[in-house]
Amino acid sequence: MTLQSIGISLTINGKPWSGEVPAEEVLLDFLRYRVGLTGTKRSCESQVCGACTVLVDGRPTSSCSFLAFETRNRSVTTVEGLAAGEHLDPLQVAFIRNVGAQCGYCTPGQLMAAKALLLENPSPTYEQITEWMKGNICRCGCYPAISQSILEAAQENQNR
Amino acid sequence: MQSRIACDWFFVGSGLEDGSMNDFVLHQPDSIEGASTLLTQHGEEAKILAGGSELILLLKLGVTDCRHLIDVKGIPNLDRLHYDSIAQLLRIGPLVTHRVIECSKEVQEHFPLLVDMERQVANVRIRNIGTLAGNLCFAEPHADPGTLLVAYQARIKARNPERERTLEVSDFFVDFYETALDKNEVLSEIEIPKLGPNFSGTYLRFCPGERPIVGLALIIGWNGEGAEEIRIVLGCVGPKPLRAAEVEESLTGKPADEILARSTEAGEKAALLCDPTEDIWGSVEYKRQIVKTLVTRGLSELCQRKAASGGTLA
Repeated sequence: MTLQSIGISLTINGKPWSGEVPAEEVLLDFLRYRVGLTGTKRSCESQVCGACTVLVDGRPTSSCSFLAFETRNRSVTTVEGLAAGEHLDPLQVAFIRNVGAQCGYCTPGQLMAAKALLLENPSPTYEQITEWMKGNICRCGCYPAISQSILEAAQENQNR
Repeated sequence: MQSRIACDWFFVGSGLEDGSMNDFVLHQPDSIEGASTLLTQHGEEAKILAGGSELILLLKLGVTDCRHLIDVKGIPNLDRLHYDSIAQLLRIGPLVTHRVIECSKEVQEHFPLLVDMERQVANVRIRNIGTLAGNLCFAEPHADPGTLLVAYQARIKARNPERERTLEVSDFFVDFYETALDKNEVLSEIEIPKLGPNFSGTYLRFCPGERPIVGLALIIGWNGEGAEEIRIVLGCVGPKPLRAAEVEESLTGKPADEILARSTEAGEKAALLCDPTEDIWGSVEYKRQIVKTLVTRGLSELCQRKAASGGTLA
């Protein structure tokens, strides 16, 4: 039973969304239950694992610990927003090619963290990639394939 | 005792089944005075929301009585980061995030050790959202910034409607999760004095998980004879950052080669000065061993740096 609801307008994957959210609702619950985008995953609930990573104004954010109302007038990007229709993002293509996912549970978070990196630094070194991505845990151990995929996607972006 | 139990919680993990948390009322004051008034009005039930990277976790865990969130992000001019080159002070506003400090060219130029430490804090998501001020106010001992700021001899400014006062950062930390802030005080600025050209420093830590288990901030000011000034700050191994004063005294005035020769002995002495808590990350004995190792390495690093070029990283 919420004490307070807040009216917000924002864009989610480029599309506008307006409505009321309870003050205490976190972005993860907002996205999964209110908006219906279930690509973003719940895991540690404490900002450690990175499975819930989304972009808020292009910056990587733990949606499990970010209050939904704070997205007012901002843009949110989730894994569902990576592909442009049938055209996969180079990151997605590289992940598939390099088997950057096994169970797939951490993968949306990995992709969004990677996307944030390439937005900020389009040509990272391998070391910069592993340093940035150390906040995203993969229990299946896909780390080398993930980092290699990001390197290749960066090169693909440069070639375009 | 309560705080030590809460401390363990953060290591074990959230253990939550769902993401629900306490209901709260959101307030969005437009001034520090307004925030302060709300803190007075609502007492223990009110908490400041800056980045929220610790507070939201507390709300989800249900370990806080907070029913009133005072969102200070709408207050103008709290996110300023500015190097005052006349006073040689870095002035950090309470809304400045770890990431902004980490990426600031100005800070890299004048306070490279600060950048070095900020790069290591948590992960990039937390650094984007979390503020340095919030980190200090939460006063979780398993953190990096407090340790280095004590070595820098930084100062904290705190404001309420009656006055603004300045505290030495070493007086700011009181106990686990406890600072010297009055109930209605808001941290308004962090001041860090620039180290002189003859100073050299390093920040080392041991962090197998998400939060550091041992931190060490080491700063030495050299003159012709040797170490004119030594600051050895042990972090994460007690309720607050600890200056290893006895070790500092034993090495002050000594030349670099003698400090290097005595670095293991200094490490052993430092290990016995601190008061680590046993938890899932290690026994007291284990943590003392890590303290000894880091102090030995840190002193070696600075002495070798001095011998090599007299170059500074401060």
